[in-house]
Amino acid sequence: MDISTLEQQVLMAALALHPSGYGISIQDHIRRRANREPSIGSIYAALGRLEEKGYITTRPGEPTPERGGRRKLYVTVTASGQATLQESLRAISSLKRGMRWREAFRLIEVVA
Amino acid sequence: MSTPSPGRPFSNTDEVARREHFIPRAVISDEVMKAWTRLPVELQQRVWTGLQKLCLREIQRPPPSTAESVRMVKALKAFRSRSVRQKEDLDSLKKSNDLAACEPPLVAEFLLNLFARSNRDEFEVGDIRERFTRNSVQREPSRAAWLYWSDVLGYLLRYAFKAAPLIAMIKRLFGNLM
Repeated sequence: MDISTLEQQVLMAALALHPSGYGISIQDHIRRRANREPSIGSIYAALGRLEEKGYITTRPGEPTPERGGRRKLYVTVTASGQATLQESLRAISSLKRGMRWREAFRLIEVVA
Repeated sequence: MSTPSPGRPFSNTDEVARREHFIPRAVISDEVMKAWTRLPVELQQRVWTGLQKLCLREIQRPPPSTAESVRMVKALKAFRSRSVRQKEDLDSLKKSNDLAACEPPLVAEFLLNLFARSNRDEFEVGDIRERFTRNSVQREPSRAAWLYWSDVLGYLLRYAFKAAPLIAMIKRLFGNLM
């Protein structure tokens, strides 16, 4: 199954933050590493899609005062999620190897 | 051990005296020597006798046993962990006081609570609140409030988009009936 760029980033962040990855920490991780700030809503939408596909599992945490007494939702990447992520990254690196960078840059210069 | 002369009890340069009285060279500074020479002779003798007794007691004291060493290490560790725990408690108390001081905008909070009904929404709303708490600590309160409002509006818009197919379906149904 294909996954979008955001889903890919969310999966990687959840893997990096395992076992304490949740909405805000995933958002922070993506902002620091990918220099991109997805909204909380889009992260939760991506998490919902990934859970539907069976790539992640979630478990509720403890309520904390800084969250107004609400609980966190911790994310764990499943084996199939890891396999899909690896496959997706492999496809990207394979595509990258096939790039003709010089010609691409020349084309960009011509267009510009 | 021979008792040193009252006027010149020990000297930096006297290697024999240093060895005899177990006094390390580095310990005796010039200031100490000057202070010593200014003391009355009786006091010098009393201090010197006391020092000798102290040194003898230190030399004759047996080294700590393994069990005693283990006990001492355990006590040190317990003390350290206790002090770390006390510091953490103090930090968390300070943090909770800070957190209690910052409250999100009432209307935004009300709207958020109004629309957040499912269990799933609780986590997202909690994240929005946590973001506000962090912002209010790191930024100005007005800026944190603006960001909170933008998060809440984003959430509500998403809610509206989720509800859009339902509204369309109801309209279609009622449209057909009418």
